[in-house]
Amino acid sequence: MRIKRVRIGAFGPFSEKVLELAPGMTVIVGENESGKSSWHAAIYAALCGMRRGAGRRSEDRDFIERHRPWDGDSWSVESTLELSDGREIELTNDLDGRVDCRAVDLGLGRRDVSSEIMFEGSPDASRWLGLDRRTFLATACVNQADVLFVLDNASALQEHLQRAAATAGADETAARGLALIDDFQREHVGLDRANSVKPLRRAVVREADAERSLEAANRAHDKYLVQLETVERLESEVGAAKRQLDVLTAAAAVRDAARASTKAERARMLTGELEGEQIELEAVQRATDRVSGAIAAWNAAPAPEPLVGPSSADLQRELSALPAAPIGDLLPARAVIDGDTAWRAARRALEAHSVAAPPQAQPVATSLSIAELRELARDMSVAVPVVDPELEQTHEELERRLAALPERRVSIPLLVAAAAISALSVGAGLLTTPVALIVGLLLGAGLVMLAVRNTLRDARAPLLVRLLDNESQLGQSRLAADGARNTISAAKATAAAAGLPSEPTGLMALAEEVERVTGVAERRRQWEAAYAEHERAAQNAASDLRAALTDRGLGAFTDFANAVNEYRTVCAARARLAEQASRRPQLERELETRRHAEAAAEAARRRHEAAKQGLAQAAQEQGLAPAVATTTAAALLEWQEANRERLARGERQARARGELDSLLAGSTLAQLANEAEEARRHTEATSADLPRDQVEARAAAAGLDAELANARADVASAHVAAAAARGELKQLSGASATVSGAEEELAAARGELERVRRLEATLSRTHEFLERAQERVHRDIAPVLEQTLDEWLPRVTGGRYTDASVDPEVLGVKVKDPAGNFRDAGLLSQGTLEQIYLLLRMALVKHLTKPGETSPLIFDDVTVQTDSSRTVAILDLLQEISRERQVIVFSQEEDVRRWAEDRLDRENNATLKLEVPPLAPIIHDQSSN
Amino acid sequence: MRLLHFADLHLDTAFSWAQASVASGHRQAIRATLRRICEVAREERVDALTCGGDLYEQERYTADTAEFLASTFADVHPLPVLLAPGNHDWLGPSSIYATARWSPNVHVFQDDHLEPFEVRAGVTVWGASHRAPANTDDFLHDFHARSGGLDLGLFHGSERSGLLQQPQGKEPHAGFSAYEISAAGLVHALLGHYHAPIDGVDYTYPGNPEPLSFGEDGDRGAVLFDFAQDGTFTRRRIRVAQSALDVIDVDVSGSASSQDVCDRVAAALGGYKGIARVCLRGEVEPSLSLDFAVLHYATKDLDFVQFDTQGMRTAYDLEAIRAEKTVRGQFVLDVLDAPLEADERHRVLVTGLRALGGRADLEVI
Repeated sequence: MRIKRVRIGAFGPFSEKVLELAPGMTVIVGENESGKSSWHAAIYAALCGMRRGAGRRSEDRDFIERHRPWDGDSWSVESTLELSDGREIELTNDLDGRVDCRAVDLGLGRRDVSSEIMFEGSPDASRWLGLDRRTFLATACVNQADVLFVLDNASALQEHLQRAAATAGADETAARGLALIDDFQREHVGLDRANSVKPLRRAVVREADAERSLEAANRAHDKYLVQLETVERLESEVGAAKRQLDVLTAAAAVRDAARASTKAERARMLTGELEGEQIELEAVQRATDRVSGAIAAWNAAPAPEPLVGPSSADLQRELSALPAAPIGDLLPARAVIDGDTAWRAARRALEAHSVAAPPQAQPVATSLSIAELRELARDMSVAVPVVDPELEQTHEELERRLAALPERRVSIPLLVAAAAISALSVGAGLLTTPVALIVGLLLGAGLVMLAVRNTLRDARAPLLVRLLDNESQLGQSRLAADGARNTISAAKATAAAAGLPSEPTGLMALAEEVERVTGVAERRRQWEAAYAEHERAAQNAASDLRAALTDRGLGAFTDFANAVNEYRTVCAARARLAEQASRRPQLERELETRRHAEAAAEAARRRHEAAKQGLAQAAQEQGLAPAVATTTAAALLEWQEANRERLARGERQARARGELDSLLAGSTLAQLANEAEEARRHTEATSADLPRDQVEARAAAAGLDAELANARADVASAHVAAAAARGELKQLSGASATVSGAEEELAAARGELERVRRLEATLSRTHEFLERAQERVHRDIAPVLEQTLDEWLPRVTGGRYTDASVDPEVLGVKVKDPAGNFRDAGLLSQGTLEQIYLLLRMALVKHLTKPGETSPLIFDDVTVQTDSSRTVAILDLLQEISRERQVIVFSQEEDVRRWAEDRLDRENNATLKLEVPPLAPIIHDQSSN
Repeated sequence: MRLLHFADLHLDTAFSWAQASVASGHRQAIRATLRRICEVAREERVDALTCGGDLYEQERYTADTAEFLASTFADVHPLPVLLAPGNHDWLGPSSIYATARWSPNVHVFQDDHLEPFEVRAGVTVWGASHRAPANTDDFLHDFHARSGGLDLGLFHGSERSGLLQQPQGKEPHAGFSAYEISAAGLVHALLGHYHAPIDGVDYTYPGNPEPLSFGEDGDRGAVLFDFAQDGTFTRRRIRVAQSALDVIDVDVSGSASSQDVCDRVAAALGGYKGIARVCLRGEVEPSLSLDFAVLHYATKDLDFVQFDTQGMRTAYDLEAIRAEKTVRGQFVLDVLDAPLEADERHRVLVTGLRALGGRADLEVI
C-alpha cells in the first residue's frame, strides 16, 4: 500500500490543504509550529479514520482535542491510496459526525468498498494491511518518543518486541497479560486452603456452612414435626383419659345412686321390722349366760374318785431308809487289770530269757583280720617257676661261638638297648598297661632290626640274633622265678613280724580260729542285749501297775499280787451298796406323784361342791323349785331350751336397730329418699353423652373407686406430659433458621462458589491458551526478526555487527560483535540501538502486515536527539527501507533537509517543506480610544 | 352455587434466586395473597372456598404457619373452606391439616379416595387428599359420584395432556385423563398441581395465585365459578397477587460504559416497581466494564432486581483479531478452534483480550 495523496478539508490549523507523497521516501521538513504533527495526524486519520460508536476512549478524546479544526470548520480528511493489488482507493473521513466516511474504488467507478475495511463503525484502510487503526499507529508510525524510550531503557527494546508480538504494540505484552491473569486469580479466586481469605476459600467455607445450616434446619424441622406429632398424640391421650374419667365418674354416679336407693329402701324395711314388742336383749342374755354357766360348771365338776396305793407318808418313810451311794470303783479299773497283766508277762519273759544264756567267748591274740591271714597264707604258697636248662645251655654255647668271631661293636649298643627296652617293657607291661608293653616291644624290635641290619652286614650277625632271642627268653624265665620267690619272702617276713606261723597251714588254721571266736562273741553280745530289754520291760510294767493302784487309792504295798487282790475285793463291796442306793430316784418320783394326786382329789371335791351351789342359785333365780343337784340341772336345761327363741328374736331386733342407725346416720327416712333421688338425677346428668352399656358395666365392676382414682391420676399425668410436650414444641418453634432461608442461603452460596470456580476455570483456560499462543507466536516471530537483522545489520553497521539472535521465549535481541561475542542489543551504543530498533520496527510491520501488502512507515522527528552522523545513518537506513515500502519522514532538522536534497532522487522520492503559517494580524478595537 | 377456587399457594416455599430479606418478604406476600383470596370470597359472597392442594410446603413450613392458616380461615367463618391436600402438603400425622386447630367451617378431606362434602342441598364436592409425597394413584379410577345432584371434584392431580404445557421437570402426581371426569359423573374438577393456568372443558387449574418465579405466563389467580343446577357454569379469573416477578429485557448493544447500560436499564424500567429480572442483551463495546453498583443505583426503586447478563456479548472483531500474526491473534484463533462450550469460549476470549488490553477487570459477568 502506498499513500499517494492526503487532502485536508479542515484539520487542526489547516483547511483545504493537499500533501502529495512519493512512492518511495518522502521527507517533510518544517520548523516548530509548521504543522508537522498535524499533517502526521491527518495522514493517520485519512488512512484509518476514527472509531464510530457510543462512548469515546481517552485516546480518541485526546486526538479530537488536539486536532479538531481550529476555525470550527467541518473536520474532514481524504486520502488516495494505491493497494498492492493495483487498486486505487479514495478514502473520505468525516471526523465530526463520522457519517460520511467511505472508501471508493476509483478504478471501478467509485464503487463503495467501505465494507471491506469497516472497523469499529467506520472505514479503516489499515485493515487492508491486516492491522487496525490502533495497531497501525503502534506499528507503522514511529515517533521521537518511541525512539527515545528505547534508547533510555535497556529493556525497552525487548518490551517493545513483546508488545508488538502480543498486540501489535497496541496493548500489553503477553507476559503482562499473563501476569494480570495470575494477579486476578490470586486476588479474586485464591487457593482453597484452610487459612486463605480469598473468594474461593470463602465460597467453599460458605457453601459448607450453608450445607450444615440447611442440614441443621432440616433436622430442626424434622424434630419439630416429630414433636408436633408427639403433642398431638399426647393431647389425644389426654382426651382419651378424660373420656375414660368421664365414663368412670358416670359409673360411680350410677353406683352411688344405686347405693343410695338401696340404702333408703333398706332403712324403710328395717323401720317396719322394728315395730312391735321390744325385747331387752341384754337381760335375756344375762339370764341365759348365768344358767348356761351353772350347767356348764356342774357338768365340768363330777364327784371325784377315791385314791389307791401307798400314801405319801408311806413312801416318805421308805425313802428315808435307803443307804447313800458309795464312792469309788465298783468294777476293777482297766488300768489296773492291764497293768497287772503286763507286769506278769514281763516277769515271765525275763525268767525264760535268763535260762537260755550262751557262753562267753575267749579272745585270740592277733591283730590281723581273717582276710589278711588268708592272703599271707596264699602268698607263702606261690609256686616258683623253673628256668629251662636248655636255655641256659644254649646261651653258653652262643657266647662261646661269638667269642670266637670278630666283633662289630656298632651293633652292640643297639642290641643292649633293645634288650633293656624289651625287659623294661615286659616289666612295665606287667605292672601297667599292655600298651606300654607293646610300645616297648616294638621299640625294642625296632632297635633289634636296626642292629640286625647293621649286624647282617657282619658275619657274627646270625649268632647275635640267636643270642638276643635266647637272652630274651632266658631273662623272662628268670624274672618270673625271681618274682615268685620275692612274694614268698615278703609274706614270710610279714608273718614273722606279727608273731604268726610262718607256714601257710598254720596261718589258715589261725584264720579259722579267729573266725570261730568272733561268732561266739557275737552271739553272747546279742543275748545280753535282749536280757537288758526284758529287764527294762518288767520294770516299766511294775511301774505302771504301781501307778494305777496308787491312783485307785491303795496305800503303800510291796506285793503287787496282794495289792491287786485287795483292790478287787473292795470293788465288789461297793457294787452291792450302789445297787441299793439306786432305788432312791424311783421312790422320790412315786412320792411326788402321790402328793399331786392327793391335791387334785381335794380340788375336785371342792369344785363339785361349788357347782352344786351354783345350780341351786341359778334355779332359784329362775324360780324353779329346790331339789337335788342332778334334778336341778335337768330343770335348768329345759328352761334354757325354752329361752332360745326369745334370745334369737332379741338379737335380730338389736341388729336391725343397729343397721338402721348406721343407714340413717343422723338422717331421716325422708332425707335418705331425697338423697337417692338426687343421686339418680346426677347419674342422668353425668351419663348424658356416654355409652350407657360401658357406664353400667363399670358401675357393676369391682374396684371402681381405685379405677376412678387411677383415671384422675392418668388425666393429670396426661395433662402434664402434654404440657411439657407443648413447651418443648414452643421452644422448637423458636428455632432461628427456617428451612427455606437455609435453602436460599445454600443456593446463594453454591451460586457464588460456582461463579468463583467458573472464574477459576476461565482464568486457567485463558492462561493456558495465552501462554501457548505466546510461545507459538514468539517462536514464529523470532526467526523473522533475526532474519531481518541478519540481512540489514551488516549493511547499516558497516559490517560491525554481522549476526543477530532473538530469544523466542522473551524476544531478547543479541548481536554478534566483531569479536564473535553475542551482546545484548540494549547494551550497545545508542546509534546502533537506534538502527536495530528501526530495523525491528520494519521487521514487525512486515511480519504483522497481511501477506501481499506492504505498509507505509511514517517517522516523526526520529533524529532529533541524534548527532549528524547518526542522523545520516538513520536516514540512509530509511532510504534503504524505502526501496521496498513507502517511508514518510517528518523532521524539523536542517540536516535532514540537506540530506534529503542531496541524497534523494526525485523520481521515487520527494522532499517537502512546510512553512509556518503567518500570524493573523492583530486588530485593535478602535472603540476603546 | 357460587364458589371460589384456588390452588398451589406454596406458603413457606424457598426462593433461591433472592436474597434472604427479599425471599422472606415474598413469603409474606404469599400470606397476603391468601388473605386477599379470603377477602374476595367474602366480597363475592361465595358458597364455598376451595383449595386444590399445595397450600403450604410440608418440608419448610414454620411454626406460625398453622396458626396463620387457622386464623385466616376462621376469619371467613361460617363460609365452608374445603381443603384437598396435595403432594407438597400431603396429609400426615405432622401435617398442618392434622395438627392445626381449625374452625368449624374448615373441612379437610382425609382420605386418598374421593369422599363427599355437601356444601348445600343438591351440591356435593367430592374431595380427596394426598397422604404421601408421591405415588398417589388416580383418584378417579373406579369412582362414580352418587349424590344425585350437582357433583364437583376437588383434588390435586396431573391431567396427562397438560403435562407438556408445564415447565420441564414438572412431575406427574395422581395422574388422570380428562375424560375420566365426566365418566365419573362429575360436572367439573377443581384442580391443583399445574402452576400454569388451564381452563379445560371439564376441569380448571387456577395456577399459582402469587408468582413464585420469574417469567410466569398466563392469567393466574383465584377462579370464581357460578354453577347452575344443570351443570352449566361460568368461570372468571380474579387476580389476587400482591407482587409481581417480571422479566424485563434491555438492549444494551453498543454500550461502552456502565453508565450507558444504566441509562438504558432506567429507560426500560420506566418507573416499574416490584421485583424484576433485568436481562441485558446485545453486543457491548470491549471497553465496557460493568459496574453493578452503578446498575443497582438505576434500579433503586425496585424491591429487588436480578441481573441476567447471559445475553450480553462483548463486540470484539474476532475475525479481524484472529487474522493478526500476534499473540492476541493466535490466542483468538486457538480459542475459536478449541472444542469449548459457547459460554466458556466467550469468557476465555474476553478474559484474554482484556488481559492483553492491560485491564484489571478480568471477570466476564
